[in-house]
Amino acid sequence: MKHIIKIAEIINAEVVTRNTVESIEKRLNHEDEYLFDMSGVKHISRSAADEFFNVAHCDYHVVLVNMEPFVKKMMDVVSIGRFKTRDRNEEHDEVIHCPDMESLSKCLLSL
Amino acid sequence: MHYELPHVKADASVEAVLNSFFVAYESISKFEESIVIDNHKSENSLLCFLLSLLEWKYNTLTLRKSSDDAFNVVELNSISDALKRIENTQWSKSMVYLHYLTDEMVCNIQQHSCSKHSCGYVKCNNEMNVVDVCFADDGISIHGSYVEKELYLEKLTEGDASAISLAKNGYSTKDRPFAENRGFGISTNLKIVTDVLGGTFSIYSGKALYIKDKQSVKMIDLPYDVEWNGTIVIARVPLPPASFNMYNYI
Repeated sequence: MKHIIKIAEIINAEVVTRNTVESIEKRLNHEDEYLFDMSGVKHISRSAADEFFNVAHCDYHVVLVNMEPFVKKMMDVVSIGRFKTRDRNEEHDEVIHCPDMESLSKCLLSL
Repeated sequence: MHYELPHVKADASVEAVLNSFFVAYESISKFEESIVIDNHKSENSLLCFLLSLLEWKYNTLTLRKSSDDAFNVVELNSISDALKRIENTQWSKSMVYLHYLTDEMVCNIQQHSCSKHSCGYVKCNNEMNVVDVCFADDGISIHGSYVEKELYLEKLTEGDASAISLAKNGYSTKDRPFAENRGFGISTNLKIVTDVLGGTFSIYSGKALYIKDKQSVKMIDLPYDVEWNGTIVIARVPLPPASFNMYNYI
């Protein structure tokens, strides 16, 4: 069976938290097919986009359609990020120990 | 008892604001009776916001605000309303980035902090051409989050300072198996705010304070009486140039 889920009607024009996407995931079953209609979603956070990516790439049959340009761009950022090795700056930050307020003030105000 | 708020100018550096906050925090921690702080004398609303967080910790502390929205404090679910207030200013072309920054901070609190209280602060300072953003929670701290998930314990040799280092380098407690899809919130925003835009980014969690701008970086192990049970992130974001494209950095 095929379902169309209008995301803007269920969540909002702004999708920010992972929890909201997870709440949609709870409605799905593994047998049916789902079209997530993203029309009307004007803004999405990177975290929420990442969560949509998770739902669309696990055992559910989910396709995202009608994405606004901003939403499409954020989904692209997330999907490209999945296949890129993280480039981490592992430089060690030397810890400055300030046992009292005097040394802390000196340290902060000398920046 | 009244606590005399330190005089800090509206255009004070983040370092100066934090210094005054720590001096006040240390003094207040020594009082045994109820304390009242009047904010009327202070020009610096970021400092007032930080001091208001101490009300979570000390039931005996009352911060007298000059008006209801004096600190631009907002509940996490109202952040987009707060951003709308600066949408029609010179920041209109930079709203996509401010949303990116605040969204990630909100998600971090909701996903990792296990906090009882949390709030945000977003304020535009037109004289300095900056937007100050601050998010705070009274949760388990960054260090507590790694310990709870039993992750990267071997890297936590210097307690809270090590935990902040891990977070700013993008080590998440919630990566999916075979994917490094999490931990972008702090790492990308730290880079954009400081290296790209020349602003200041600070993380205060537990007993450590990390503060970075374009020229300098410091990781500080704080005195025991200003330990914060939770995490406070401050970003001073300069107005991005017209050529700024956030997608080049995320």
